[in-house]
Amino acid sequence: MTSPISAIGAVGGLSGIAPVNPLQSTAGTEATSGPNTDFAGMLSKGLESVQASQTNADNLAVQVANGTLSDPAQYTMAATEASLGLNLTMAIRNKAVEAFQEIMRMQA
Amino acid sequence: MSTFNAIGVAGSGVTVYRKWLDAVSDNIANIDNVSKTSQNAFQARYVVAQEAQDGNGAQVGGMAYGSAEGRLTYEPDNPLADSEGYVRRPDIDLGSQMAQMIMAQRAYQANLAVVDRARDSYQAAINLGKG
Repeated sequence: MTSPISAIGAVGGLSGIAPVNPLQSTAGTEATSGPNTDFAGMLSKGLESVQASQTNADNLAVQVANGTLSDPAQYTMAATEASLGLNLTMAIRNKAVEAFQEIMRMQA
Repeated sequence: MSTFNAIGVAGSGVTVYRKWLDAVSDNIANIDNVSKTSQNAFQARYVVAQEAQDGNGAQVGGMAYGSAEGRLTYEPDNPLADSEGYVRRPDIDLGSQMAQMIMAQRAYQANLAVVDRARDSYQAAINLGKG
């Protein structure tokens, strides 16, 4: 058999290479994944922080409407902070969705 | 403190200078108060600004008060005058209060300018990730 593609069979020799296994062992990942170093943990922590700043801005908005807030600048600054947090969340979400779609397009 | 720390720090400065403006307006509002010589004069209020406990910006540490003695003026026609014709007025200089008001106003605006620039900077950083 001298098929032009028979050389591909030589790739089978590569199966002897097994350095991938250490990466899959849990011992290797345990060391780097602390309480908040994994992406999901950081994401949920960030979302909680954004949620807190939104709640703070909402409370100050109610106080402005009541007339109980002595310094209106406090509200505008809290609203600015909440808005920036939301923008950051959206930027990260868009990046994550983009990455997901990139992976989904990766076929044959 | 948080992700957008500069806004919070500048915000603490805004609060301090607002309180200074409040104190100055109180002093100017009471600058013509007249009291009997047996009573204290209105005491000018001064804001004591200091670094915040956690190192994030500034805070008002307390209030300092001016002289309770004030200054005695000779106004025999005033109903509050004592037997020698004197009344007590607060020892506040309007020119000094106006100068303090300008300082407090400009510093308030400066802190808000910091908030503005910080917001623009953070927004630019977020936009960088959108590309």
